[in-house]
Amino acid sequence: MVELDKDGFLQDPKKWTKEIAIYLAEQDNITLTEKHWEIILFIREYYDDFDSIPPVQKICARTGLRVIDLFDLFPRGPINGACRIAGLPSKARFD
Amino acid sequence: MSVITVDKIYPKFREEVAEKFCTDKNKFDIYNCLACGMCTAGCPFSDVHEDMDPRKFVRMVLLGLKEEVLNSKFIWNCTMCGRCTMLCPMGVDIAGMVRTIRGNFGLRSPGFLQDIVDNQIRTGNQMEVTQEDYLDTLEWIEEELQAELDDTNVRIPVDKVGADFLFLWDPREIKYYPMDVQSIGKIMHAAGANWTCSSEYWDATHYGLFSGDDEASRILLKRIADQVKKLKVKYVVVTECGHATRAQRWGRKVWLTPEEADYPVYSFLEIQADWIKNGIIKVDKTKNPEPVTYHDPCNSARKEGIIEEPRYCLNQVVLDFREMWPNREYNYCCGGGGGLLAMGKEIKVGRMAKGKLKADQITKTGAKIVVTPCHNCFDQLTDIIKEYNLDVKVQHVHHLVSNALVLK
Repeated sequence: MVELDKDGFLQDPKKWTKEIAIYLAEQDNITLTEKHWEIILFIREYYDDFDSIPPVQKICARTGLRVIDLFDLFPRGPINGACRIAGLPSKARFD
Repeated sequence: MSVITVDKIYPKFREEVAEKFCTDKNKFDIYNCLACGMCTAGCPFSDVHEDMDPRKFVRMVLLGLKEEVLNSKFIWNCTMCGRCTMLCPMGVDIAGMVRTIRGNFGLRSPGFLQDIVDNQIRTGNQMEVTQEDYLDTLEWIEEELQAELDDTNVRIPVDKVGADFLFLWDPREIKYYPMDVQSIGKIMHAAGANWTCSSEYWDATHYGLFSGDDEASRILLKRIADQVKKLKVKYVVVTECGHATRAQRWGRKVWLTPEEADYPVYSFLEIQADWIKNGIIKVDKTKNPEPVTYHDPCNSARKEGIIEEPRYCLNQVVLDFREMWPNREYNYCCGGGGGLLAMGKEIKVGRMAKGKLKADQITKTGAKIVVTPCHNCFDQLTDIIKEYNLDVKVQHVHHLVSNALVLK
Protein backbone atom coordinates (compact mmCIF):
# COMPACT_ATOMS: atom_id res chain seq x y z
CA MET A 1 0.00 0.00 0.00
CA VAL A 2 2.66 2.56 1.00
CA GLU A 3 6.45 2.57 1.04
CA LEU A 4 7.97 2.98 4.48
CA ASP A 5 11.58 3.43 5.50
CA LYS A 6 13.35 1.18 7.99
CA ASP A 7 11.99 3.18 10.94
CA GLY A 8 8.41 2.95 9.66
CA PHE A 9 8.24 6.55 8.39
CA LEU A 10 6.83 7.41 4.95
CA GLN A 11 9.44 7.23 2.17
CA ASP A 12 7.73 10.11 0.40
CA PRO A 13 5.87 12.42 2.82
CA LYS A 14 4.05 14.07 -0.10
CA LYS A 15 2.05 10.87 -0.58
CA TRP A 16 0.39 11.17 2.84
CA THR A 17 -3.38 10.73 2.95
CA LYS A 18 -5.84 10.22 5.79
CA GLU A 19 -6.15 6.56 4.82
CA ILE A 20 -2.40 6.17 5.22
CA ALA A 21 -2.59 7.81 8.65
CA ILE A 22 -5.23 5.25 9.67
CA TYR A 23 -2.98 2.46 8.40
CA LEU A 24 0.10 3.80 10.26
CA ALA A 25 -1.94 4.23 13.44
CA GLU A 26 -3.12 0.62 13.25
CA GLN A 27 0.54 -0.44 13.33
CA ASP A 28 0.75 1.22 16.76
CA ASN A 29 -2.62 -0.31 17.79
CA ILE A 30 -4.26 3.10 17.76
CA THR A 31 -7.80 3.77 16.56
CA LEU A 32 -7.82 7.41 15.54
CA THR A 33 -10.33 9.61 17.36
CA GLU A 34 -11.23 13.25 16.82
CA LYS A 35 -8.55 14.28 19.34
CA HIS A 36 -5.90 12.28 17.46
CA TRP A 37 -6.88 14.00 14.21
CA GLU A 38 -6.71 17.42 15.81
CA ILE A 39 -3.10 16.73 16.83
CA ILE A 40 -2.11 15.12 13.54
CA LEU A 41 -3.49 17.97 11.46
CA PHE A 42 -1.89 20.58 13.71
CA ILE A 43 1.51 18.89 13.40
CA ARG A 44 1.18 18.84 9.62
CA GLU A 45 0.10 22.46 9.47
CA TYR A 46 2.99 23.54 11.73
CA TYR A 47 5.47 21.51 9.72
CA ASP A 48 4.27 23.13 6.48
CA ASP A 49 4.66 26.59 7.98
CA PHE A 50 7.94 26.22 9.87
CA ASP A 51 9.62 23.14 8.37
CA SER A 52 10.00 21.83 11.91
CA ILE A 53 8.09 19.73 14.44
CA PRO A 54 6.04 21.79 16.91
CA PRO A 55 7.22 21.73 20.54
CA VAL A 56 4.98 19.58 22.75
CA GLN A 57 4.03 22.77 24.59
CA LYS A 58 2.50 24.12 21.35
CA ILE A 59 0.58 20.88 20.74
CA CYS A 60 -0.82 20.95 24.26
CA ALA A 61 -1.64 24.66 24.15
CA ARG A 62 -3.50 24.20 20.88
CA THR A 63 -5.47 21.12 21.90
CA GLY A 64 -5.92 21.83 25.60
CA LEU A 65 -4.31 18.49 26.47
CA ARG A 66 -1.87 17.71 29.24
CA VAL A 67 1.42 15.97 28.40
CA ILE A 68 0.27 12.79 30.01
CA ASP A 69 -2.87 12.78 27.83
CA LEU A 70 -0.72 13.19 24.74
CA PHE A 71 1.26 10.09 25.68
CA ASP A 72 -1.99 8.21 26.36
CA LEU A 73 -3.14 9.06 22.84
CA PHE A 74 0.24 8.29 21.23
CA PRO A 75 2.03 5.80 23.48
CA ARG A 76 5.19 5.94 21.33
CA GLY A 77 5.48 9.65 22.00
CA PRO A 78 5.23 12.79 19.91
CA ILE A 79 7.95 11.88 17.39
CA ASN A 80 7.78 8.14 16.73
CA GLY A 81 4.04 8.18 17.39
CA ALA A 82 2.24 11.36 16.34
CA CYS A 83 4.73 12.69 13.77
CA ARG A 84 5.09 9.32 12.08
CA ILE A 85 1.33 8.96 11.70
CA ALA A 86 1.16 12.57 10.50
CA GLY A 87 3.44 11.54 7.62
CA LEU A 88 6.49 13.63 8.50
CA PRO A 89 9.84 12.38 7.18
CA SER A 90 12.07 10.55 9.66
CA LYS A 91 14.72 13.23 9.14
CA ALA A 92 12.39 15.57 11.01
CA ARG A 93 13.17 13.60 14.17
CA PHE A 94 16.35 15.54 14.59
CA ASP A 95 15.46 18.98 13.33
CA MET B 1 48.15 -9.09 2.66
CA SER B 2 48.33 -5.56 1.32
CA VAL B 3 51.39 -3.62 0.29
CA ILE B 4 52.09 -0.07 1.41
CA THR B 5 54.05 1.90 -1.18
CA VAL B 6 56.38 4.72 -0.14
CA ASP B 7 54.61 7.33 -2.28
CA LYS B 8 51.48 6.88 -0.16
CA ILE B 9 53.29 7.80 3.02
CA TYR B 10 53.22 11.33 4.38
CA PRO B 11 55.43 11.21 7.50
CA LYS B 12 54.41 14.66 8.75
CA PHE B 13 50.81 13.53 9.28
CA ARG B 14 51.43 12.54 12.89
CA GLU B 15 52.82 16.00 13.62
CA GLU B 16 49.78 17.63 12.01
CA VAL B 17 47.50 15.53 14.19
CA ALA B 18 49.50 16.18 17.36
CA GLU B 19 49.61 19.93 16.76
CA LYS B 20 45.84 20.12 16.35
CA PHE B 21 45.13 17.71 19.21
CA CYS B 22 42.73 19.15 21.75
CA THR B 23 43.67 17.69 25.14
CA ASP B 24 44.45 18.58 28.73
CA LYS B 25 47.35 16.09 28.61
CA ASN B 26 50.46 15.95 26.42
CA LYS B 27 49.62 16.34 22.73
CA PHE B 28 52.53 14.11 21.73
CA ASP B 29 51.43 11.07 23.77
CA ILE B 30 49.99 9.65 20.55
CA TYR B 31 53.58 8.86 19.47
CA ASN B 32 53.86 6.39 22.39
CA CYS B 33 51.96 3.56 20.67
CA LEU B 34 53.71 0.19 20.98
CA ALA B 35 51.31 -1.56 18.58
CA CYS B 36 50.42 -3.99 21.38
CA GLY B 37 46.76 -4.22 20.39
CA MET B 38 45.19 -3.66 23.81
CA CYS B 39 42.96 -1.04 22.15
CA THR B 40 41.51 -3.50 19.66
CA ALA B 41 41.12 -6.12 22.39
CA GLY B 42 39.32 -3.56 24.54
CA CYS B 43 37.05 -2.21 21.78
CA PRO B 44 33.64 -3.86 22.26
CA PHE B 45 32.95 -3.60 18.53
CA SER B 46 36.22 -4.68 16.89
CA ASP B 47 34.75 -8.05 15.95
CA VAL B 48 31.15 -6.87 15.51
CA HIS B 49 31.50 -5.33 12.05
CA GLU B 50 34.08 -4.25 9.43
CA ASP B 51 36.26 -1.14 9.69
CA MET B 52 36.29 -1.14 13.47
CA ASP B 53 39.94 -1.72 14.41
CA PRO B 54 41.53 1.00 16.55
CA ARG B 55 45.03 -0.45 16.38
CA LYS B 56 45.06 -0.30 12.59
CA PHE B 57 43.81 3.27 12.81
CA VAL B 58 46.56 4.38 15.20
CA ARG B 59 49.26 2.66 13.14
CA MET B 60 47.97 4.30 9.95
CA VAL B 61 48.14 7.73 11.56
CA LEU B 62 51.65 7.18 12.93
CA LEU B 63 52.90 5.73 9.66
CA GLY B 64 51.57 8.71 7.73
CA LEU B 65 48.86 7.07 5.62
CA LYS B 66 47.01 10.37 5.52
CA GLU B 67 44.70 9.75 2.57
CA GLU B 68 43.63 6.34 3.87
CA VAL B 69 42.89 7.71 7.32
CA LEU B 70 40.88 10.67 6.02
CA ASN B 71 38.84 8.38 3.77
CA SER B 72 38.48 5.59 6.31
CA LYS B 73 35.11 4.45 7.57
CA PHE B 74 36.61 3.86 11.01
CA ILE B 75 36.62 7.53 12.01
CA TRP B 76 32.82 7.66 11.62
CA ASN B 77 32.10 4.11 12.85
CA CYS B 78 33.94 4.77 16.13
CA THR B 79 31.65 5.92 18.97
CA MET B 80 34.61 7.51 20.78
CA CYS B 81 33.52 5.54 23.84
CA GLY B 82 37.11 5.54 25.11
CA ARG B 83 37.35 1.93 26.27
CA CYS B 84 40.49 1.54 24.12
CA THR B 85 41.87 4.78 25.53
CA MET B 86 41.28 3.66 29.12
CA LEU B 87 43.05 0.35 28.48
CA CYS B 88 46.06 1.72 26.53
CA PRO B 89 49.15 1.14 28.70
CA MET B 90 50.94 4.05 27.00
CA GLY B 91 48.31 6.74 27.43
CA VAL B 92 47.41 7.09 23.76
CA ASP B 93 44.07 8.92 23.57
CA ILE B 94 42.59 7.11 20.60
CA ALA B 95 39.11 8.57 21.02
CA GLY B 96 40.74 12.00 21.01
CA MET B 97 42.64 11.17 17.82
CA VAL B 98 39.35 10.30 16.13
CA ARG B 99 37.89 13.62 17.23
CA THR B 100 40.94 15.56 16.06
CA ILE B 101 40.86 13.97 12.61
CA ARG B 102 37.10 14.41 12.20
CA GLY B 103 37.33 18.12 12.89
CA ASN B 104 40.63 19.42 11.55
CA PHE B 105 41.13 18.09 8.04
CA GLY B 106 38.24 19.56 6.06
CA LEU B 107 36.01 16.47 6.37
CA ARG B 108 32.24 16.63 6.46
CA SER B 109 30.45 14.15 8.69
CA PRO B 110 27.85 11.75 7.28
CA GLY B 111 24.22 12.54 8.04
CA PHE B 112 23.35 15.79 9.80
CA LEU B 113 25.92 16.02 12.59
CA GLN B 114 27.36 19.25 11.17
CA ASP B 115 23.86 20.74 10.74
CA ILE B 116 23.26 20.27 14.46
CA VAL B 117 26.46 22.15 15.32
CA ASP B 118 25.51 24.93 12.86
CA ASN B 119 21.97 25.13 14.31
CA GLN B 120 23.31 25.52 17.80
CA ILE B 121 25.78 28.23 16.82
CA ARG B 122 23.08 30.10 14.89
CA THR B 123 20.09 29.76 17.24
CA GLY B 124 21.67 29.08 20.64
CA ASN B 125 20.34 25.54 20.89
CA GLN B 126 20.63 22.46 18.71
CA MET B 127 16.89 22.04 18.11
CA GLU B 128 16.26 25.67 17.13
CA VAL B 129 13.71 26.19 19.91
CA THR B 130 12.79 29.88 19.91
CA GLN B 131 13.22 31.83 23.14
CA GLU B 132 9.45 32.37 23.22
CA ASP B 133 8.72 28.62 22.95
CA TYR B 134 11.36 27.83 25.57
CA LEU B 135 10.01 30.33 28.10
CA ASP B 136 6.41 29.29 27.36
CA THR B 137 7.36 25.67 28.06
CA LEU B 138 8.98 26.51 31.40
CA GLU B 139 6.01 28.62 32.43
CA TRP B 140 3.54 25.96 31.36
CA ILE B 141 5.37 23.21 33.25
CA GLU B 142 5.58 25.47 36.30
CA GLU B 143 1.77 25.65 36.21
CA GLU B 144 1.54 21.86 35.74
CA LEU B 145 3.80 21.38 38.76
CA GLN B 146 1.74 23.77 40.87
CA ALA B 147 -1.34 21.73 39.97
CA GLU B 148 0.41 18.39 40.59
CA LEU B 149 1.73 19.43 44.00
CA ASP B 150 -1.27 21.61 44.86
CA ASP B 151 1.08 24.44 45.79
CA THR B 152 1.13 27.81 44.05
CA ASN B 153 4.61 28.56 45.41
CA VAL B 154 6.36 26.06 43.13
CA ARG B 155 8.70 27.90 40.74
CA ILE B 156 10.94 27.17 37.79
CA PRO B 157 13.14 30.25 38.20
CA VAL B 158 14.56 32.02 35.15
CA ASP B 159 17.47 34.50 35.27
CA LYS B 160 17.52 34.60 39.07
CA VAL B 161 20.72 36.50 39.83
CA GLY B 162 22.69 35.09 42.77
CA ALA B 163 21.09 31.63 42.76
CA ASP B 164 23.33 28.79 43.96
CA PHE B 165 23.49 27.14 40.57
CA LEU B 166 22.60 27.48 36.90
CA PHE B 167 20.79 24.43 35.50
CA LEU B 168 21.39 23.52 31.85
CA TRP B 169 18.80 21.55 29.83
CA ASP B 170 18.89 19.23 26.89
CA PRO B 171 16.61 20.83 24.23
CA ARG B 172 14.87 17.47 23.82
CA GLU B 173 13.51 17.94 27.32
CA ILE B 174 12.14 21.36 26.42
CA LYS B 175 10.78 20.46 22.99
CA TYR B 176 9.65 16.83 23.15
CA TYR B 177 9.79 15.62 26.75
CA PRO B 178 8.38 18.42 28.91
CA MET B 179 7.47 15.79 31.52
CA ASP B 180 11.23 15.51 32.09
CA VAL B 181 11.22 19.20 32.96
CA GLN B 182 8.36 18.48 35.35
CA SER B 183 10.19 15.53 36.93
CA ILE B 184 13.36 17.58 37.46
CA GLY B 185 11.40 20.61 38.68
CA LYS B 186 9.65 18.42 41.23
CA ILE B 187 12.99 17.21 42.65
CA MET B 188 14.30 20.79 42.79
CA HIS B 189 11.17 21.85 44.67
CA ALA B 190 11.39 18.93 47.12
CA ALA B 191 15.00 19.86 47.88
CA GLY B 192 14.20 23.54 48.28
CA ALA B 193 16.97 24.25 45.76
CA ASN B 194 18.08 27.81 45.11
CA TRP B 195 18.48 27.34 41.37
CA THR B 196 17.93 29.14 38.11
CA CYS B 197 17.64 28.58 34.38
CA SER B 198 18.97 31.05 31.84
CA SER B 199 16.62 32.69 29.35
CA GLU B 200 19.45 33.21 26.89
CA TYR B 201 21.80 30.22 26.66
CA TRP B 202 20.45 27.13 28.36
CA ASP B 203 21.45 24.22 26.08
CA ALA B 204 23.91 21.84 27.78
CA THR B 205 24.46 19.74 24.68
CA HIS B 206 27.52 20.16 22.56
CA TYR B 207 27.86 18.39 19.21
CA GLY B 208 31.21 20.05 18.63
CA LEU B 209 32.47 17.34 20.96
CA PHE B 210 31.51 14.81 18.27
CA SER B 211 32.34 16.78 15.12
CA GLY B 212 35.75 17.85 16.42
CA ASP B 213 35.10 21.50 15.57
CA ASP B 214 37.13 23.29 18.27
CA GLU B 215 36.20 26.74 17.04
CA ALA B 216 32.49 25.98 17.47
CA SER B 217 33.19 24.27 20.78
CA ARG B 218 34.84 27.37 22.18
CA ILE B 219 31.95 29.61 21.12
CA LEU B 220 29.39 27.26 22.67
CA LEU B 221 31.21 26.92 25.96
CA LYS B 222 32.05 30.61 26.26
CA ARG B 223 28.32 31.36 26.08
CA ILE B 224 27.75 29.22 29.17
CA ALA B 225 30.74 30.74 30.99
CA ASP B 226 29.25 34.19 30.29
CA GLN B 227 25.89 33.13 31.76
CA VAL B 228 27.66 31.97 34.93
CA LYS B 229 29.20 35.44 35.34
CA LYS B 230 26.03 37.28 34.38
CA LEU B 231 23.80 35.36 36.79
CA LYS B 232 26.48 35.31 39.52
CA VAL B 233 25.88 31.62 40.32
CA LYS B 234 28.34 29.50 42.29
CA TYR B 235 28.28 26.47 40.02
CA VAL B 236 26.66 24.81 37.00
CA VAL B 237 24.51 21.67 37.06
CA VAL B 238 24.06 19.71 33.84
CA THR B 239 20.93 17.67 33.22
CA GLU B 240 21.21 13.88 32.83
CA CYS B 241 23.18 13.83 29.58
CA GLY B 242 26.53 12.08 29.12
CA HIS B 243 28.25 14.05 26.38
CA ALA B 244 26.93 17.34 27.75
CA THR B 245 28.44 16.58 31.16
CA ARG B 246 31.75 15.77 29.47
CA ALA B 247 31.69 18.88 27.28
CA GLN B 248 30.70 21.25 30.07
CA ARG B 249 33.24 19.83 32.52
CA TRP B 250 36.30 18.69 30.54
CA GLY B 251 35.61 21.28 27.85
CA ARG B 252 36.31 24.13 30.28
CA LYS B 253 39.92 22.94 30.55
CA VAL B 254 40.56 22.82 26.81
CA TRP B 255 38.37 25.46 25.19
CA LEU B 256 38.39 28.23 27.81
CA THR B 257 41.13 30.15 29.60
CA PRO B 258 41.53 29.35 33.33
CA GLU B 259 39.96 32.75 34.20
CA GLU B 260 36.93 32.08 31.99
CA ALA B 261 36.58 28.53 33.35
CA ASP B 262 36.59 29.52 36.98
CA TYR B 263 33.42 27.67 38.04
CA PRO B 264 32.64 24.07 39.07
CA VAL B 265 30.36 21.88 36.97
CA TYR B 266 28.32 18.98 38.38
CA SER B 267 26.04 16.41 36.85
CA PHE B 268 22.49 16.34 38.18
CA LEU B 269 23.31 12.74 39.19
CA GLU B 270 25.82 13.97 41.77
CA ILE B 271 23.34 16.52 43.10
CA GLN B 272 20.55 13.95 43.48
CA ALA B 273 22.87 11.50 45.27
CA ASP B 274 24.01 14.26 47.62
CA TRP B 275 20.45 15.32 48.39
CA ILE B 276 19.34 11.76 49.16
CA LYS B 277 22.42 11.01 51.25
CA ASN B 278 22.05 14.15 53.35
CA GLY B 279 18.32 13.73 53.85
CA ILE B 280 17.53 16.89 51.86
CA ILE B 281 15.02 14.87 49.88
CA LYS B 282 13.16 11.85 51.29
CA VAL B 283 12.46 8.83 49.12
CA ASP B 284 10.47 5.64 49.37
CA LYS B 285 11.86 2.77 47.31
CA THR B 286 8.64 0.75 47.43
CA LYS B 287 7.26 3.21 44.86
CA ASN B 288 9.52 1.57 42.23
CA PRO B 289 9.05 -2.20 42.61
CA GLU B 290 10.04 -3.32 39.08
CA PRO B 291 13.52 -4.79 38.45
CA VAL B 292 15.89 -2.10 37.18
CA THR B 293 19.30 -2.23 35.50
CA TYR B 294 21.69 0.63 34.77
CA HIS B 295 23.55 1.49 31.58
CA ASP B 296 26.67 3.64 32.19
CA PRO B 297 27.03 6.34 29.52
CA CYS B 298 30.68 6.32 28.40
CA ASN B 299 31.03 10.07 28.74
CA SER B 300 29.78 10.32 32.31
CA ALA B 301 31.22 7.03 33.63
CA ARG B 302 34.46 6.17 31.83
CA LYS B 303 35.48 9.74 31.03
CA GLU B 304 34.05 11.78 33.90
CA GLY B 305 34.09 9.15 36.66
CA ILE B 306 30.44 9.55 37.67
CA ILE B 307 29.96 5.89 38.54
CA GLU B 308 28.82 5.32 42.10
CA GLU B 309 26.45 8.32 42.43
CA PRO B 310 23.77 6.95 40.07
CA ARG B 311 24.06 3.53 41.74
CA TYR B 312 23.63 5.13 45.14
CA CYS B 313 20.47 6.90 43.89
CA LEU B 314 19.04 3.73 42.36
CA ASN B 315 19.71 1.62 45.43
CA GLN B 316 17.79 4.20 47.47
CA VAL B 317 14.82 4.56 45.13
CA VAL B 318 14.17 1.09 43.65
CA LEU B 319 13.51 -2.26 45.32
CA ASP B 320 15.32 -4.49 42.85
CA PHE B 321 18.52 -3.13 41.28
CA ARG B 322 20.56 -5.49 39.08
CA GLU B 323 23.96 -4.79 37.50
CA MET B 324 24.56 -5.73 33.90
CA TRP B 325 27.98 -7.17 33.12
CA PRO B 326 30.47 -5.73 32.40
CA ASN B 327 29.59 -2.50 34.19
CA ARG B 328 30.98 0.75 35.54
CA GLU B 329 34.07 1.95 33.62
CA TYR B 330 34.24 -1.39 31.82
CA ASN B 331 30.71 -1.07 30.46
CA TYR B 332 30.11 -1.50 26.73
CA CYS B 333 29.04 1.55 24.78
CA CYS B 334 25.40 1.26 23.64
CA GLY B 335 26.54 2.01 20.07
CA GLY B 336 24.95 5.45 19.95
CA GLY B 337 27.93 7.50 21.14
CA GLY B 338 30.22 9.78 19.16
CA GLY B 339 27.33 11.50 17.38
CA LEU B 340 26.41 8.31 15.48
CA LEU B 341 22.71 8.91 16.12
CA ALA B 342 22.96 11.99 13.92
CA MET B 343 24.84 10.30 11.08
CA GLY B 344 21.88 8.95 9.15
CA LYS B 345 20.85 5.66 7.63
CA GLU B 346 24.21 4.35 6.37
CA ILE B 347 25.70 4.44 9.85
CA LYS B 348 22.54 2.98 11.38
CA VAL B 349 23.30 -0.52 10.10
CA GLY B 350 26.52 -0.68 12.12
CA ARG B 351 24.87 1.13 15.02
CA MET B 352 22.26 -1.61 15.32
CA ALA B 353 24.90 -4.35 14.95
CA LYS B 354 26.77 -2.74 17.85
CA GLY B 355 23.54 -2.55 19.83
CA LYS B 356 23.22 -6.34 19.88
CA LEU B 357 25.83 -6.49 22.65
CA LYS B 358 23.77 -4.12 24.77
CA ALA B 359 20.54 -6.00 23.99
CA ASP B 360 22.14 -9.21 25.29
CA GLN B 361 23.52 -7.48 28.40
CA ILE B 362 20.09 -6.09 29.25
CA THR B 363 18.25 -9.33 28.57
CA LYS B 364 20.53 -11.30 30.88
CA THR B 365 19.60 -9.09 33.85
CA GLY B 366 15.89 -9.84 33.46
CA ALA B 367 15.21 -6.18 34.28
CA LYS B 368 12.04 -4.46 33.08
CA ILE B 369 13.50 -0.97 33.17
CA VAL B 370 16.90 0.09 31.84
CA VAL B 371 17.99 3.37 33.33
CA THR B 372 20.50 5.67 31.69
CA PRO B 373 21.30 9.31 32.45
CA CYS B 374 21.92 10.27 28.82
CA HIS B 375 19.71 11.31 25.91
CA ASN B 376 21.89 9.77 23.19
CA CYS B 377 21.98 6.44 25.06
CA PHE B 378 18.22 6.84 25.63
CA ASP B 379 17.51 7.05 21.88
CA GLN B 380 19.92 4.25 21.03
CA LEU B 381 18.41 2.00 23.74
CA THR B 382 14.94 2.80 22.37
CA ASP B 383 16.12 1.74 18.89
CA ILE B 384 17.73 -1.41 20.35
CA ILE B 385 14.52 -2.37 22.18
CA LYS B 386 12.59 -2.06 18.92
CA GLU B 387 15.19 -3.84 16.78
CA TYR B 388 15.64 -6.80 19.13
CA ASN B 389 12.08 -6.91 20.55
CA LEU B 390 13.03 -6.49 24.20
CA ASP B 391 10.34 -6.26 26.85
CA VAL B 392 11.97 -3.30 28.61
CA LYS B 393 11.42 0.43 28.90
CA VAL B 394 14.04 3.19 29.17
CA GLN B 395 14.09 5.81 31.89
CA HIS B 396 16.40 8.41 33.38
CA VAL B 397 17.52 8.34 37.02
CA HIS B 398 15.43 11.42 37.85
CA HIS B 399 12.24 9.68 36.69
CA LEU B 400 12.67 7.05 39.40
CA VAL B 401 13.85 9.57 42.00
CA SER B 402 10.90 11.89 41.42
CA ASN B 403 8.52 8.94 41.45
CA ALA B 404 9.91 7.84 44.84
CA LEU B 405 9.79 11.32 46.43
CA VAL B 406 8.07 11.62 49.78
CA LEU B 407 6.77 15.17 50.06
CA LYS B 408 5.89 16.71 53.37
